[in-house]
Amino acid sequence: MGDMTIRPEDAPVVTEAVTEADVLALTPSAGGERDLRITDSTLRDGSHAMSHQYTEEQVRAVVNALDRAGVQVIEVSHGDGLGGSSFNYGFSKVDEFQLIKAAVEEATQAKIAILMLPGLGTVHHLKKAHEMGATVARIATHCTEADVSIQHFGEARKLGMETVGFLMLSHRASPDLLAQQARIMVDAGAQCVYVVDSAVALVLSDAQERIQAVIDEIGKDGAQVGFHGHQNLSLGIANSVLAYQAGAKQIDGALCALGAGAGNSPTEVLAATFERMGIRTGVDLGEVLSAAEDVVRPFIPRLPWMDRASITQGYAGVYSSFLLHAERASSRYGVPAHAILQRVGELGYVGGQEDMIIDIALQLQQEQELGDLAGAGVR
Amino acid sequence: MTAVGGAETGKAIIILNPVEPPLMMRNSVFCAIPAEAGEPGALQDRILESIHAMVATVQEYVPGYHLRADPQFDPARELWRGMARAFVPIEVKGRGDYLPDYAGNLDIITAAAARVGDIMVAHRLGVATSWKSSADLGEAPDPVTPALEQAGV
Repeated sequence: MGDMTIRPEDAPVVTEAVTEADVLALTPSAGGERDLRITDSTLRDGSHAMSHQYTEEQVRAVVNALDRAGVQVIEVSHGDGLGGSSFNYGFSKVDEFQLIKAAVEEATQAKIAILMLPGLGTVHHLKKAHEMGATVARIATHCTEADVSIQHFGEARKLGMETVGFLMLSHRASPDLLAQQARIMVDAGAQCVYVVDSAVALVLSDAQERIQAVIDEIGKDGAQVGFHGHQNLSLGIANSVLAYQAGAKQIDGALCALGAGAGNSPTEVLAATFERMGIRTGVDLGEVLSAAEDVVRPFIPRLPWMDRASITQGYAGVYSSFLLHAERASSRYGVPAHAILQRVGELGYVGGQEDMIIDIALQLQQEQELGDLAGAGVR
Repeated sequence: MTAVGGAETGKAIIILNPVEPPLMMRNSVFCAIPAEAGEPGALQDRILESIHAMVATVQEYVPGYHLRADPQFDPARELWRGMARAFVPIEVKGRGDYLPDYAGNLDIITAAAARVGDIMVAHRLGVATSWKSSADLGEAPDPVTPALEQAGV
């Protein structure tokens, strides 16, 4: 080891005093050139974690903070998409159209997006959201059922909305099949198609291969590809980076990871990670960190976390929003939530089939009782 | 649901699942009921009676129509605007004559159309319907014990 003493001549030569303004000028802030676009879903996917109890004040505060941070698209809807307020998915505290309207009023540069699942929401819901001022329509189907979205893309384009397709539970389709489904959406009018890892069953290369296959299929038409990740196996950020490297141009996140299951890729961590990598998101890191810490964190009833039930979801490939429903069924019927979710994975239920959780809980309860009887020697 | 079923408001949801092996046709009916009916008692008994009577009626022309489990009653909650909830899990197993038996959704449409046609014609002709229910034809409704079977009993 050499001499580590710092000598006077080693001190850097400062020819000009550096002011705070100079530092700020060199720090990426909101706006400017972008390599990708972050869509924040705190007010849609996060609605699951809030049991759909968002208030108008909370929505306004979140939109205000995200808008200031330079996030370009903010999604606002019931967690299960437009029209999701029901016994099956949970009733919204405040009508989602009122929340969409409030978000539109609050945003200065950000576009307000909505999510809808055809079969659960209808074109009437889409039109109403457009009337409230939403300009991005994100239309979601199970990864092999893209053909149910054709009319909805047609209507959204007719309304002049930007369109995004959402292929949910993407791990259930091979890269080739997923690419064919993305093709159906693009032909129907989708301008971007997302590979949606609703369960976080896509482990690194699984995500990248799917993104690549979809880009190969629809990229030549000028359509973009996006990625929506969850944290159940703690891969939201890593998968998002791999997705970007494979060519994805739209990435979803949620402040404080607020979303279904163990939550979404945290928007603030996406912003920080991409900035460290020199990938421009157009998001002001300080502002988005503050949005997470000062605006969202205080009202979250329970931080999304990788616990036994949510890890089981990732492992067994279960739709993330089933988590709280399984927990409720668990306390109602006295069977473990992770056992319910494991069974959901085995039977292959898809997003929207929350009612089947009650079926499974009843079956497990019955098996448990029969097991007890068998244990007691009763045949 | 509002026009025929008489509900104040209604919402229908359809979810397609292409999983293999295919899932049997399955419908869940959730119903907001008065808080009183969420607790065991006379009102809840009347609802149960009404559900079972309707199942029997539908079984006259759709023998594979049955409850997957007993109707579930949940007490009133604030999140449900103070209402209680009834949950009725219905499974429809098709006859398997032309379509696989899991496609009970298609069978029930055909069976219902045949039944309605029969009633309409009988009404127009002013004669009694010659409809033979599954029971009349000596067919018992399909037995349901899947959970017991799965448990190896």
